[in-house]
Amino acid sequence: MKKVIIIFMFFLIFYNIKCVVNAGLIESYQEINFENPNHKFLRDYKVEELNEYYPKVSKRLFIGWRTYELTRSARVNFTKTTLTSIRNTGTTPIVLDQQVKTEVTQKYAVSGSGGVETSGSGTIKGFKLGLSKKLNIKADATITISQTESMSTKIQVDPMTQLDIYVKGNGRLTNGVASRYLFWIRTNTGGYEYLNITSIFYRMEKKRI
Amino acid sequence: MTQKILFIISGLLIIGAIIAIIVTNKPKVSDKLLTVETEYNYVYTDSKVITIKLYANKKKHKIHHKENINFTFLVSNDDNARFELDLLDIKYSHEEKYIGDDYYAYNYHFKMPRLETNLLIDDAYLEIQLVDGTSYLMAIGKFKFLYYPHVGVEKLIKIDGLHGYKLQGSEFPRLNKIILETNSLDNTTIESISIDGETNLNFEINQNEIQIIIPFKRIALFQAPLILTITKNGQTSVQVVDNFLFFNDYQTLEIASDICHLYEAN
Repeated sequence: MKKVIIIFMFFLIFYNIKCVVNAGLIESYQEINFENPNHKFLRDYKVEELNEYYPKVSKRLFIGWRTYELTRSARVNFTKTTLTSIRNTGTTPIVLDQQVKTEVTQKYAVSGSGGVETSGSGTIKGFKLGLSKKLNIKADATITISQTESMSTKIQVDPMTQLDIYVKGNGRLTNGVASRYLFWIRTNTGGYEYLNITSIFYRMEKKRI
Repeated sequence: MTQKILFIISGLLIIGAIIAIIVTNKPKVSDKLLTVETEYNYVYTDSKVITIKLYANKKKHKIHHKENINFTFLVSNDDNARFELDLLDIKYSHEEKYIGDDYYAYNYHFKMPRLETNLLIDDAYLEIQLVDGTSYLMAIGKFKFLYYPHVGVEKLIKIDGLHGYKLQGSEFPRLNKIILETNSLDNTTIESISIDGETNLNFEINQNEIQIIIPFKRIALFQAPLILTITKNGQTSVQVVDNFLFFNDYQTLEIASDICHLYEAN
């Protein structure tokens, strides 16, 4: 019986220590860049590099997460999406009230690697097993992205012209490594990363078609 | 045996009493409303919607339900100006932190009134009267309603692009630079540019790109129209670019707490 327990304990300890970095920050965020190029995204860390930081979270706990920050609240810029596209294929200019779609997105976007998993109900994503709480992230906090949130804007679109409204944004990105312990046994180890969206900028462009 | 039962019952009663004391003594969080000093400049169009952001520390405060609202007024500090605003709807926007507490932002959408002349309220308040008789008066900043013909019509220069930035290196929620791209400025002189119909702003022209600088002030500015006075082929005229929302902020209360107004709203 003792042998079974010992084998089980070893299994628990080593099962989640292997970690593969497959983070890739939130897919919907294109062209995400740090203002200070010295910072690195989680996806840019090699496995061996992250392994160097795991000793920082190796002190055992009765229960809960131990975390170590690699990047703390660093400023990032990103392009999120094209909100709207209007084409005038007619022969006369049109002055229209923009019909821009409204998008609701998470204020905190998350990404995990190795034993740090992201999950949540429906489309809301947070970190599993209480890591969101430990990192003080409200996974259900949302922001509304809409150019017409504030007004309806009259814009002239000439014949054979396309009007696009792009969304660019600023945020603060934090990443690091984390280990979870249950009865002093390490059960999960991996990298975490989250982006706190602070501003959304709207950009209007017209191009000939 | 009886003693044991009595001991257990008394123990349970004491624990129950302690829990009751803790629960009843839990500090009650009072309802609060919060507004941010903002510069609002709107040019009139028949479909123009004006938006005022209100924050509350409770997500389901009675003020956020349109059916609870009887009247809404835009009022000047000296009470010389008082206009009823037609409330169209109230929409949840996002949540923020203010001095450690959660606040929920709601956008109040109103129909822009058709007035006879331009209106300026330097020290504007939003008054909301509820059906239950409660009334809230909240400072909102600086308000301007401007009336120009042919808003959005590109009669002198074509607008190919429009975007803006905050002051470089600052997160304060104020528009600092507007970039207006045109297809051509040949035979064209930009005489003046304004966002409020009064103050001429500094600008630079780089080929077909006009960079407009808005002076920094401790007041939020997210959207603006552009009023351009242009001379083209010897004729001077005004072209108005309609209000454009350049950015939205989701951390205004943290960054600009000095321009916030907090109100008890029980």
